[in-house]
Amino acid sequence: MTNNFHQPLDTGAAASSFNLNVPLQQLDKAIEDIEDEIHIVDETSLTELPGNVVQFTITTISAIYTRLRHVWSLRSIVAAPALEDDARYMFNNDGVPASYSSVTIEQTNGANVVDEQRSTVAIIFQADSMTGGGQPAGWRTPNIMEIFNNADTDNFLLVNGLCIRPDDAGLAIIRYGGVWKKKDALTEIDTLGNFGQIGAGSSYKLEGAL
Amino acid sequence: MSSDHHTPVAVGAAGNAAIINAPLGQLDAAITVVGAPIVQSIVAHTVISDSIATVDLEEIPDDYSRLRLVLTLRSDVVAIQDDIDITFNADTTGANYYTISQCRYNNAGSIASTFDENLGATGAFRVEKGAAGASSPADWIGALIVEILQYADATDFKTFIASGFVAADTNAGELFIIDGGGIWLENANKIDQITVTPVAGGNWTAGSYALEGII
Repeated sequence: MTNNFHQPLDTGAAASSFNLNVPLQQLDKAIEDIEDEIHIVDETSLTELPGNVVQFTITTISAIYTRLRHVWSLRSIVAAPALEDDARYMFNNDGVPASYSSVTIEQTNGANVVDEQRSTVAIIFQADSMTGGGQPAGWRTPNIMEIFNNADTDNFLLVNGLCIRPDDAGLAIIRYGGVWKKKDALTEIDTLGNFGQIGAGSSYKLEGAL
Repeated sequence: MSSDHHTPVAVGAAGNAAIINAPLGQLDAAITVVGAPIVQSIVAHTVISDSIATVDLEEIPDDYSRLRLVLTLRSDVVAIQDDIDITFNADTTGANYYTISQCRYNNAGSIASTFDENLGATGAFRVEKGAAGASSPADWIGALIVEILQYADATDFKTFIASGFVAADTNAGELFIIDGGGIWLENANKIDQITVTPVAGGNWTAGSYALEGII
């Protein structure tokens, strides 16, 4: 039994000297500290899309976070036989292609693909990183994307991430990165598909770190 | 009222300290479990606004299960990229580091890569092309996260894994995916210092750094 957060009562002391409020307040304080931290690391709760959407938008992202983690599991409704779709991100509704550059490396057991976008599309482009309609029902692609310098107005915002796209004929490991060439604090992320909408049952969560 | 995390004291038994301490200890243990995933800031996000020769993080507390080093870096090397050397406890003994890092990029539609494999020769974890350089366009930069496991273990070697991206230039094949990791053959001391140095350049000229502890 650990006693990290409170001082136990003295078993040799008379019951009349007990002050139970002391350890209770210590434990209460520990819970309060954890609640504060949980509030800090959760920008959004885990959200599951009840229906298909063209995009989902996370807004009012706080500048108290120095780094963000965009975690999602997505499936596009792009029609079969398409096995995959592209995930795309727009920051602060910035639709200027010159603001973005990104690269995606997709490797499977036998094939390698690279996609590079240099100020050509108004998004961070993450090629083939969503499950497509040609995959078995319910299959989705998990993704973890770290976002650096999101609230830093001295440096460009960078993203770096990993997806594993399940495929019953051969899975793909996808590594990608990108730069948003603005030095604005990030307040909004739009996440979109490319050829199809993002399908019902997909989920996402945005976490923040101090 | 829920009693999922402790056994309530029987009514009438509250005059015994040991009886009261038991559920208090159970609640304490539950708080420890709940708090475990929380990430705490050791060194807050710090912008590199003036040139510095190294990012030097000292007096790292040993309160965590692992460390997460968060870097965005640009050096003064006259090139679009620079390698990064990361040392622990100021140890630059070549034989103590076995590390590998890979930089992948687009080469006319195919994936190309360069490696740095360090078999006890370089006295650092050398991250291949992990930072932008002075020849990169203004403000272009690289990002890297290094997870350092068992850093507070004074009886075992320390292992680490890194992942990053470098926006180095506007031309084709100059956006870089970085991966790597390795082992530091030190099993008598905890890690209490991390130093980050440009390899070809003399200074870091822009970027940011932070150090997080995972409970």
